[in-house]
Amino acid sequence: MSEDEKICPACGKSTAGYVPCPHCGADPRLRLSIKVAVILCVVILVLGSGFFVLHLSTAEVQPTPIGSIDRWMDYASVWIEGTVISGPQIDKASISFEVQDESGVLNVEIYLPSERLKRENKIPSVGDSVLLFGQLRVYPDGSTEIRVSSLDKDPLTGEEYFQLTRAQLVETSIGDLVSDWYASQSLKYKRVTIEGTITNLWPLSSAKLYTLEDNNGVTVEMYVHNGLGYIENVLDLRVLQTIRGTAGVSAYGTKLQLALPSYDDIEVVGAWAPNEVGIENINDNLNGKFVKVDGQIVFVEMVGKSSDLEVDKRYLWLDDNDNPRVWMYESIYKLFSENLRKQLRRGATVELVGRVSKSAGQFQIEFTGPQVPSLENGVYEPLLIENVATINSSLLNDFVTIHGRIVENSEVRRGTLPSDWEFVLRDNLGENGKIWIPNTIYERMLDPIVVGDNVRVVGKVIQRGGGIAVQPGVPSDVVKVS
Amino acid sequence: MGILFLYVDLHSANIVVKNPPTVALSEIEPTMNMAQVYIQGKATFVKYYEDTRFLGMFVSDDAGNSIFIRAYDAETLRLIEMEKQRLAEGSSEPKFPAVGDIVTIRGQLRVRPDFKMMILQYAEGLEIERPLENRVTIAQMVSNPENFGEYQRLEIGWDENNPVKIISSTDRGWATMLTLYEMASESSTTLIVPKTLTRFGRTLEAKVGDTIRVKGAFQLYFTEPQLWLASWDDLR
Repeated sequence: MSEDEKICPACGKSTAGYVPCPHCGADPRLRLSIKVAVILCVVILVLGSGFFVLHLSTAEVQPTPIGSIDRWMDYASVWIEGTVISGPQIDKASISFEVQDESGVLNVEIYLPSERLKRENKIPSVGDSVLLFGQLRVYPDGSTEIRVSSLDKDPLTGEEYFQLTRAQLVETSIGDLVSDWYASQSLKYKRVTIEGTITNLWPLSSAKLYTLEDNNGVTVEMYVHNGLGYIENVLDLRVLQTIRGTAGVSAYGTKLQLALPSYDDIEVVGAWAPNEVGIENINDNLNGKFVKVDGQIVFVEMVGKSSDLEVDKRYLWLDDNDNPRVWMYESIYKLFSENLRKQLRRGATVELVGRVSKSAGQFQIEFTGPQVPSLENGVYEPLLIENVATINSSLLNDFVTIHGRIVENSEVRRGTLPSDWEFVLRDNLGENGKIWIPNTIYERMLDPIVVGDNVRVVGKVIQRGGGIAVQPGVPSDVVKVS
Repeated sequence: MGILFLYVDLHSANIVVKNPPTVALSEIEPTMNMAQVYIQGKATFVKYYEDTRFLGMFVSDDAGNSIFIRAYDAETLRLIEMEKQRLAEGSSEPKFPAVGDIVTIRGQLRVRPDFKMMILQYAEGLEIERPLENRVTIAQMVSNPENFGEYQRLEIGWDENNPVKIISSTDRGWATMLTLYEMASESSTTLIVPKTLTRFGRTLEAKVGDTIRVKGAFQLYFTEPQLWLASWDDLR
């Protein structure tokens, strides 16, 4: 090509051999031809894409350390790897638990039907290792959560989005477990098999806490989530049954707690037999022991809470007011069927198992669930005191029946709560006596008494404000008569 | 001319601009992504998100198909204002949804292979039918919970001879839980008063010791029957 025919690759005009191009100022010697540039681009594109695909297909899962999660990672999709340290809490459409790695703790929500997770053996237990992929949520209060909504495999890495590796079982005893907890905590977040006897039950709204005890009196709590009932048959556990079970060693605050992931992990292997004794024969030798007692209920007293109108405890006296009283928390009483609750009244004959203890020098028997007392209907009314003026301190804590007309009332205010009430009852002899009705009982009366009513009241003689009063135990102890 | 035609068509003639179709929840599939449709079903989860001010809701049909409904903050605020106004005027047509309501929603679908969602773009696109309640006793609820459907509307405390009292109140943050006690049967249940209701211009005035009559949607919290309060006019 002659000098005149040379073309500037930038502007396409003849340069006549001049450098730079007299038209656009470009240096034609430094330019690639379009063809070369296109070929280079294609090669780079192919190499780049190939590298990208190769990288993705050979990349391993890189779990995010829990401690590195910050506010900017809200809604980020990440892999998390760690050990299950609590739960599982089971709902119909999801399960939740906590996972811990070396850097922190994270809440996990698996938004899949719990029945399906059970079918696919994906219900985790404390101690299990998990690898999961999901979407992070970082809330304004700083709490964090990861949500997993698939059991599929990642199309690139082939890893399942929710993987469980079961923990190895450690055979131990309640004594060794408790000792370890206060020494090295080497069993914390491990899965253990232990044997113990159920000696108590504490019902929560979402779970039940069973107390397991060994022969030396060492105890441990076992947490059983109510949601297990959605995915398997609930085992009818009873007090004094000895069970052998596998559960995760978890913590509630700083307290040791076993977390049961399945009723399938429990087997009933025996039972403790309680001492059958007459309730009047309870003595120091029986203190701390379980006894089976029976007798006619001569008085029932419910004791309210100071914060609201809820009942806290319920006391029963069998055969005589001098006998040790039987008591139970209202939460245990509420576990009874409606029929049984209606039967557990003054006059009924009852047989139950409880644990003897001493309070303020007096023996008492704690009714520990889970159990169903046997009951027979009956009628009992304490001694009728015709002259209420004869009720004095010598009758303190006795149960009495009084009869008369309400002539006066006064309320004792309880802040924002409904008031307690004090009534003056005039008997047929014209004598006056006091009746004290706490708000827990008064507010439960279907037809509360007022001045002018004729009433028949069964109650316990109590000391109140320097005087003596009769306090009914339950609303039905106060009956209006014509 | 074209714009004028579209305007007239939109408001009356509906020759080109037609109402979106109503689709069953079971029919929704990925090819419908971004489509404007009507859906109908029962609200089985309703939540007002305090942090984002969004409304979230699951709507389900009898066969168990469900879709998540989302209203963003502006439309959620409008729904709240509409409900506030409705209560002030004493109208009986609810504007803000609650569990158990039968809802008809016009919105835009967002369909993913494993997730169905609809965006409620206009507050007016939500129509609510609150089913009539059945009168029951707490004893019936507690002793035979299997007799009631999930989120079935029930009324308790309607019998003057069998009053229902509030015996405790617990603030759980997202809701106030009232324990209701039925005098005759000595049975109790929990009434959930969602905090969202306080956005409708009123607060919970009932206190411990009050006798109440209430309508709510039935649910089982594991084995424990509970009622959800849908609106202030359901509580007396």
